[in-house]
Amino acid sequence: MKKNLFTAAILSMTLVFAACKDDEPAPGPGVETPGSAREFVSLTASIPDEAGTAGNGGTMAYAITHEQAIDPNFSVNIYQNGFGLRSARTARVQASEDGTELYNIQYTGEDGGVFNKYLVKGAKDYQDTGNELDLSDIVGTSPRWTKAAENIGIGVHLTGSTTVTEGAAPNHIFKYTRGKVRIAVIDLENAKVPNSTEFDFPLPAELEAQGYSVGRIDVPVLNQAKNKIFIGCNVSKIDPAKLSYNTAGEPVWANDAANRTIGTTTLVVDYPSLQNPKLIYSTLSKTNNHSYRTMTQYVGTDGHVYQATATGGKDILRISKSNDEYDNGYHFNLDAALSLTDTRIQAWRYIQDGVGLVLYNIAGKGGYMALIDLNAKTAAKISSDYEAGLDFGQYQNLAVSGDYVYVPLTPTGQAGRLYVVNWKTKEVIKGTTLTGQSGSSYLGSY
Amino acid sequence: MLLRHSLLITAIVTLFNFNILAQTTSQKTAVIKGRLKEEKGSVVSFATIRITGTNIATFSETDGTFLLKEVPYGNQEIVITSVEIKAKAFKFNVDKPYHEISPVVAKTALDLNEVQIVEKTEKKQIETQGFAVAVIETKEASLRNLTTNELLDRAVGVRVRQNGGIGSRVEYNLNGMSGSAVGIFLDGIEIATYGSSFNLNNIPPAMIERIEVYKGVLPSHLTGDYVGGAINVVLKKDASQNNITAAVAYGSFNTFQSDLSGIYRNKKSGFTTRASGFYTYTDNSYTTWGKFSKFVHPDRTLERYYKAKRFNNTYKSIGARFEVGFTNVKWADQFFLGYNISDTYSEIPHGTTMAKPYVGRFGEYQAHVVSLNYNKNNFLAKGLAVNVNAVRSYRSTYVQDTVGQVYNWDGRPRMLIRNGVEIPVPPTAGMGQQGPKSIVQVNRQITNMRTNLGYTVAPGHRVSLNHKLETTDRDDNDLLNPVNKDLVTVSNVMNNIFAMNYEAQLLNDKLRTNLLAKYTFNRTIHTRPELVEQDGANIINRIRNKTVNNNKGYGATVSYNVVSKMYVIGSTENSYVAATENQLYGDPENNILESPGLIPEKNVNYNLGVRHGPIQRGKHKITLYASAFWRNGFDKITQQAVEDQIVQGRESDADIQVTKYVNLGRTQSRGFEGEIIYIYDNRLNALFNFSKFNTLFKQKFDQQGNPHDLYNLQLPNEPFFTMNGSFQYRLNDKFQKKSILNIYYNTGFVGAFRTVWMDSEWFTTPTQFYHDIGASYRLPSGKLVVSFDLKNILNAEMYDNFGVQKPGRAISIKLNYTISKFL
Repeated sequence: MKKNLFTAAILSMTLVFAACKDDEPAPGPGVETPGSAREFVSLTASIPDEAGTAGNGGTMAYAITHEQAIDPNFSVNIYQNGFGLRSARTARVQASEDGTELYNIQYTGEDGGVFNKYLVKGAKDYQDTGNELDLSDIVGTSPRWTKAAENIGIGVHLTGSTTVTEGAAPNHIFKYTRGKVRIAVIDLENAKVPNSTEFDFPLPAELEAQGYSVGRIDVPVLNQAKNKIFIGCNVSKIDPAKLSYNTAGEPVWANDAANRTIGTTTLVVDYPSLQNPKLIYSTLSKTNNHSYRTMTQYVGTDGHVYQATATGGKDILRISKSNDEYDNGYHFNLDAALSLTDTRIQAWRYIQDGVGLVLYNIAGKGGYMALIDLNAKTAAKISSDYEAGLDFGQYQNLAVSGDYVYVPLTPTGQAGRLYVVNWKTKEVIKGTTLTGQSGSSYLGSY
Repeated sequence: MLLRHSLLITAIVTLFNFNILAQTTSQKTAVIKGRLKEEKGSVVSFATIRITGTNIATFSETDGTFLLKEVPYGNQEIVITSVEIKAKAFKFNVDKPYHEISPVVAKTALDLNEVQIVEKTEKKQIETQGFAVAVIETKEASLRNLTTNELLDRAVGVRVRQNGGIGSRVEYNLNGMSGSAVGIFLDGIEIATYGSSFNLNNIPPAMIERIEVYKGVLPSHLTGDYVGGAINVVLKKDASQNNITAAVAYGSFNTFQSDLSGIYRNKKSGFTTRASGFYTYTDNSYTTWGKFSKFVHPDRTLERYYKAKRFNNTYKSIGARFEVGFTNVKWADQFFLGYNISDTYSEIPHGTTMAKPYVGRFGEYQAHVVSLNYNKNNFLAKGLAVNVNAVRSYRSTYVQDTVGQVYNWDGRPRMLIRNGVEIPVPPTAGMGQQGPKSIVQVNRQITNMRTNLGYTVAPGHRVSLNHKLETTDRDDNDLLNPVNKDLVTVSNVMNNIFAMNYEAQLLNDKLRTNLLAKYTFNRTIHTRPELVEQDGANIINRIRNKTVNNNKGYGATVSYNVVSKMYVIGSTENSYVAATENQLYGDPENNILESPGLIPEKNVNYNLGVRHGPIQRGKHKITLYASAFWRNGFDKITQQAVEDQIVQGRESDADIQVTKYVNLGRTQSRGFEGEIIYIYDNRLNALFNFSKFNTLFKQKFDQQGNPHDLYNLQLPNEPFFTMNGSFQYRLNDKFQKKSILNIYYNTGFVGAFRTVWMDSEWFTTPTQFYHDIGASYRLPSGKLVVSFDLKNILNAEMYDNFGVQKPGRAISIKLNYTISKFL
């Protein structure tokens, strides 16, 4: 008991001192840095749940200045000194382009599907604006959402996917598997939901009969004209001839992804009416593009949409701004650009003028960075000190400010650093030290 | 360190000391029967009658009768004491097997109409055996409007976490251990056997003799794989007096509760019947106004602190228990055949939290239970005692959830803007309130049998053998989407526990020791279908697979009577829990991979405490109790996370991760508890108890083998500091002569606790601090008692679980009526 009190006292004192240190305005180096366009860069990290399971216990946030970000002697202990964003599990955080506002939709739990908005005031000072939205009825308590354009959030969910059969056990006949698409538009500025929709997933009947279905949709992005939303789809295929029964006695059919013939699929709906759903297919890749927890589609400086086949693929595909269809004449292949095989894009960010930063692994292992040029179709790897231990599976976001991209790198449970990459000069600064905590890792910058 | 903190010590009023495990000795013994009267001829009840220098004691019943068993031959001194009489001692020569006496005692100047006996003999007996145990008496509480759960919650070291009002889900926390670590028994049989309709939410205290709460180490009559302890509810056994009692109560939130019970015994034949029943109805329509009471507007903006009245929360429960048999006859001390029936209808107002109200989700629970109970001392041979309790139950659970509409806490459908128009949230195809639409019925047939053989080897040395058998046949029916049962995977589980203990009383009965050993044998038969193609069509083959696992355990308790009325008690246990079939062989449906290398979990428990009292100084009486505990779990089987694997075909589910079980976890819970009871002049009765513990995260290394930063931190979501206090004051002859008025005050405190690892005000369950007052008035006839209760008088905002507000202020009135001495 006594020891615990003592520990608590030490901890709270540490906290006080740490807070004092962070409150001091960081003295600028005197010269104007291109990164000072914005005041703060927010970093987020996940923490473990009650059982110690990595990444499931919530999300911490902490805001630093550019000067602190590039200072290797500066240290952030987000787990002790950070701000806990409201979410029972890992939050799905988005931010305004200038980093002054964070948006979060809580992922599962008591307030799963609840939207919160925070004003970023530095260090652990995040002011909850009190603007809350309940999206659970529209996009569920574990919503897939992104900031589809500045001030516009789009939440999507594929709900109630069920398999329709004929006949009786033990000779059930497969008909089709289908769910409903649900979409909500979120006005991030005024915190309200001005429109939403729901419709059956529009997969053609002949594809459904062959065992195709879409079980998850994600990464909605708004095109440059702001009249179409592109949504990534997780296409799966079963073999209608291979029947078995699960322990509850329900019929199930064997996975048949190997015999998939249709390409990467994107769902397109009109904005803001959310009408006229249609599907577009790529002829260049068959890898799904629904990503995991991070945005993987961006409107380029040239007005086209660049879409990665994340998080299982190596491709960046292009959706043309002229007809809102796949541009099957354009293909960026990370394997080719890096002369590697089986690279998988885990997260990426389109920066400007065809330049992007990609976080990838190789055959599911490690975590690597590369600056890519989508126009030249080239890539330049950026080495880090943590490559083998990194896992970008939960990675969410990369902040860009002026010439800099901010990449927090921490292997799970270990300390790491904030890498600040000058995308123009390719200069890499190993900045702020990020302390580690068991079962935790950094998720991104905003 | 713990000792320093145990300065705050505690107590128990113990007026009498009586040995229930009547010691059979090899010497000749006799039975002394009698009736106690005072000089004017009226009977004296609740007086202690004791044989000096022995453990033989009893107390007189309401009709003054008493029975002393197994009194050794020879000159004995009989001492009769009670607060309402002058103590009397007299010599008596026991020279034949049966004596009948009629002692006369003198009343004290204070002519008490009735002595409030708060604690009874068995309480002290059990509490000084060496186990870390608290015994809760229900006699007093049964007259008031208290549920069994409320009563339990006030006991030292017990926290009853309730997810709402009456009938809501309850979790019992014993000094930091909860869930499947804690066993809940009814007369030594797992209460689940009696079905969800017969539980501590609705069994009225009037049906209960006492409740034993064992923390940590369990005695052999409650064995099972429970490392955190057990709660054993002992139903009324007493058949000494024919009577009928009835009670009705009505209170806030349209809550109506009633119970009725009767006992009849034919003194000549020993034929005995007991019947009791209860009926509870409540709307649970209490108001919530906290942070999680929320309202969603059509543009989806969320308003918190919305004042809402709960709905779809009706709870209706009816149950009865009938027993027919013989008591105190030549061939049996007790022989009963019983039938227990219960039926509950319970609306489910929300999920684990109040996030959204449910409409139309409800459960219906039914159970028919037949039982046989036989016990006999000196069975077949002298000194051999047998006790058999066998129960067969047919229970069913029906849960329906077919309404798709989403509602707000104002009771109306939630709205949204769809394609520009404001409409009620369209129901999601196939979805009910909590998940997919469902109508599920589960039927279970459970056989649960416990047999205990005790043999007194020599005076003060007793060996007991205990066997428990439990089998469950479970039949799941999906009534909404029926499936072919030939294709369902079925598990049939049989559970056998053998336990043995040796009790010894040494050093002039000052030292009592108890050595325990147990062996558990579980067998599971798993039957699954396999499809075989024959002539182009599938046929089904059923494949049977048998698995067995064994657990063992051993423990010891010791109790030492240091000085008069002061006992030092200690216990320890070492037990193992083997991995379950799912943990070993995986469960593909739930994305769990196989892990054949698992070894059994090991649990080591220690308890050490002291009981002292009652110490009497004039009219002041004080009793103290303090105990420290230390529970350790090793090689705990926990799920290991394998991040970010998405199972093909189930992509639409929230992140699916394939995991497996590993022997990684370590748990530790240590702390202390104490209780102090003060009585003045048998009028004022004050009690205070507290429990404080740390349940720590003890995993030293993370899955990469690095030191774990959460090591030694308090686990979230465990209430770790609780306090209870109560006062009771009695006024005689108030309003009417010979009437008794009791005034009560009760307060409870539960310290705030985090629900997640991070320090966040939002995710903290706030401090609970409440005050209840009440009064009961016994009319001069003694037949009618009227009681009035006002709970949570300050209307405090209370939460046991994150985000579920509990009821605020509530008023109720209760009438109790007793007819005794008929026939």
